[in-house]
Amino acid sequence: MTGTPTHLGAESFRRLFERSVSAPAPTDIPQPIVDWMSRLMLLEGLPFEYLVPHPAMLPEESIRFFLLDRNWLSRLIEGAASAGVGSSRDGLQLLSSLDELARQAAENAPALRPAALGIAQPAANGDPWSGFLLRSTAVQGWPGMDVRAYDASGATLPTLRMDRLSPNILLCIFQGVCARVDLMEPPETLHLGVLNQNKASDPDKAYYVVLRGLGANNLAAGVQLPGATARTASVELRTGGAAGVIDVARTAQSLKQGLSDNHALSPEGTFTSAEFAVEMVRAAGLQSFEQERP
Amino acid sequence: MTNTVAARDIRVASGGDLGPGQIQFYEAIQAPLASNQYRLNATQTIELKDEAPAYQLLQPFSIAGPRFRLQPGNVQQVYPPANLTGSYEESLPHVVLRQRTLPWSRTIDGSVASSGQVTTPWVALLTLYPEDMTANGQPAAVSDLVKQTTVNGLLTKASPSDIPPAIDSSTLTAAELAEPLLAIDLPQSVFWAIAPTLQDLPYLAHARQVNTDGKEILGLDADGFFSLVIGNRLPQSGASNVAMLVSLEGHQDHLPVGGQPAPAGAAARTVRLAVLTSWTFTAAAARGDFLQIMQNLPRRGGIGLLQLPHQDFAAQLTPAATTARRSLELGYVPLLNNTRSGEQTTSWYRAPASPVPCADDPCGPYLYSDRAIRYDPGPDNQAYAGTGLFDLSYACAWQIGRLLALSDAAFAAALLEWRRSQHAAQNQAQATTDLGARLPLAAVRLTAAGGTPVPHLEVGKSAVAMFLHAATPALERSQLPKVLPHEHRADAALPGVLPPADLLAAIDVPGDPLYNLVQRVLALTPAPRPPSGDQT
Repeated sequence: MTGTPTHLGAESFRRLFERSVSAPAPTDIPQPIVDWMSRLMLLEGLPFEYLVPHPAMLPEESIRFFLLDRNWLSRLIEGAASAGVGSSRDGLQLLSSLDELARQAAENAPALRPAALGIAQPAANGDPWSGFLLRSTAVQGWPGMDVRAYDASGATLPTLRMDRLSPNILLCIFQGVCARVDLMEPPETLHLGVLNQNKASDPDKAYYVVLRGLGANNLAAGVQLPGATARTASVELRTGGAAGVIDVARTAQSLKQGLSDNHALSPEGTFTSAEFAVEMVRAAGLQSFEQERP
Repeated sequence: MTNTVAARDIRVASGGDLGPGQIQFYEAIQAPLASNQYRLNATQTIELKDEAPAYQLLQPFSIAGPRFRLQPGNVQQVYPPANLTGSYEESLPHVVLRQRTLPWSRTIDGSVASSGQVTTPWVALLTLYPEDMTANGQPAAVSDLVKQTTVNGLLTKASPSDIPPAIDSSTLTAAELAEPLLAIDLPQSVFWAIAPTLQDLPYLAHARQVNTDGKEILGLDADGFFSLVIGNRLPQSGASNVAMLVSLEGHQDHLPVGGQPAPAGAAARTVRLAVLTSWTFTAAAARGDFLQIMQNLPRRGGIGLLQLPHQDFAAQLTPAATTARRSLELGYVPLLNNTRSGEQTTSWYRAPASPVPCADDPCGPYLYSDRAIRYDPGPDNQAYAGTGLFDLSYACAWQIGRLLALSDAAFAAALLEWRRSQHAAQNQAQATTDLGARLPLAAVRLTAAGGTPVPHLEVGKSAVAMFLHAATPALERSQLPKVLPHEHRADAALPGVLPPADLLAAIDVPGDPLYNLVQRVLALTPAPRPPSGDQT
């Protein structure tokens, strides 16, 4: 959150408190309380209806960006800290320490995820927090999905929280205002595979692969062939026998023809198992979403 | 809102050193000599004056290599991971072998490859569906089908329907023939349907060089070369599949031929294969492709801000519609709520996830949630109609924060403990202040107790004046608390009665007796020295 928010009301309460009882400065807040408040500021445990009050705000297969309302978070902290206030003295003590509590919780929040993951902690700054909610079957299907957020200048934003709220809803909160997010298929599986042209539910399968350059004709190796639409080649299946068996020799011919049509084949026309593998690798798909702020 | 073009690029190295995360593909890495039996034939001819005798040496040697079984260390990784369930329906299984030359280290037909020629791989990865695994017409587990036998058992034709690999057992030693191995008898019809053809095989093995600097690729833990054997069949969705790396050595004539049906009577014959490794995995039901799902997102739910969708407003907005539209754009949602008095009304609510940046609320903090309720009193001028509605967002935030705190017993206890320690610190500070206020007062009382001026008061006047000055604020603040908690009383420092000896000593010591007495009471000076002869 930006700087140290000091409320007029809080300041007057603090002065009143100090004058009356000469209180020690409330800086020594126990760490477990600060941690708990930090997690609360990252909306942990918040019922989903409080985050998305109407189902139409987050329909199926959608992504919704947001900025976190710091006033809301302050109220959340006030409510939590007010548990068990039993006297006006308790109240005075609470009001005099709330600002400090909110400040420490906000500063501590970016350290929680790095500490849990054992990675370096990002430099804390006063940037506002933002995030997105993704509701998609992809959340369910790819649990290891890799999410990166970038601000308007292209700098990577530290991730404060990334959690699946339900099997198909992903919540991400970043430090800074995110302008673009990259969602990537779990990259650890570089294997060979095919793409299905038809819907997953369609009993008829028609497989294809997206063609990649091979380093010939200035088409970088491993990079998708340029063009407005993806250049593809069909994958041939053996017919009349067992299901799912790829006719490798015919598929190789199809790939070679597709590359040749797109002038991506080397002048010698080499097409071996290495080229076959480059074309057939199912690379981690990467999808960027950008949002334009009004 | 836009979404950029998806990328399916992979990081292929193009010559030179491999960068981090890069990968280089090789058609094959051929061992200088394939695993086989060799004879080294050396001939030396010595030219003498009238004769040229030739000396010959024939040195047989063999290059050993994995043939009928693999050591556990040969296999680096299998994909899909063994015994896992996942979305593998559109993936081809593969096995990563640590020895870079392994798929080409033998020839499938036992011939000797000429130098520079890429040989056909002698191993293949078969993918078996549950229906392919039968024993006596009944579905069988893979563990029932794969049998332990010896090399001799593999090569021997036990019955006329057997098709063992065509390897001449006379080229093997007795020890080699007795080596144990795993073998499977596949119906020839199944083998014909799922095995790769001789033309397919060269595409189904390749070598890779990877650089794993700073990035996990393939799960390999070292830089270097690996060879891969790729399956030729997509796993069956929603079923348990068996991937099986088999040796095809000697089976070159039994492999299926592209476009040709299986030979007559194939179902009754069985092809015997040496199983090098096998594992089971389950392909979960299809769910589509990651990028397709992602690219459909803008068309389906769309990309946007967290706002309540609404129908289009009329082109000409009334002031009320302007207000309503603005509220919705700011992320507010009209929701029904029950008031405390029992009425039901509509109030605004906005989540912490706001579509717009928010300014600081200058009115916090609040001790009660009701104080955070905002009310829009209604029209103030023509441009802004007002809503006449409550905004309960922050009140809800306050209330759910308190409920969350109360629902976590450990946190609530820590919070109370912290509050208690703060109070204790305050009490301590208060007690110190009180003590400071009480001490001069006590001294003043001491002076007034007698009523009559004590002799030799002149010296003590200034001291008393000092104490009075210090005590004034305390006096003005009216009275000290009548009752103090025991631990906060400073009685120990303020004894009501001095021992007679001390009293006498205070009087006897030269100087003002009252001053001396105060000094004793406050313990500012150590006990007076015993009177010495040096008196004035």
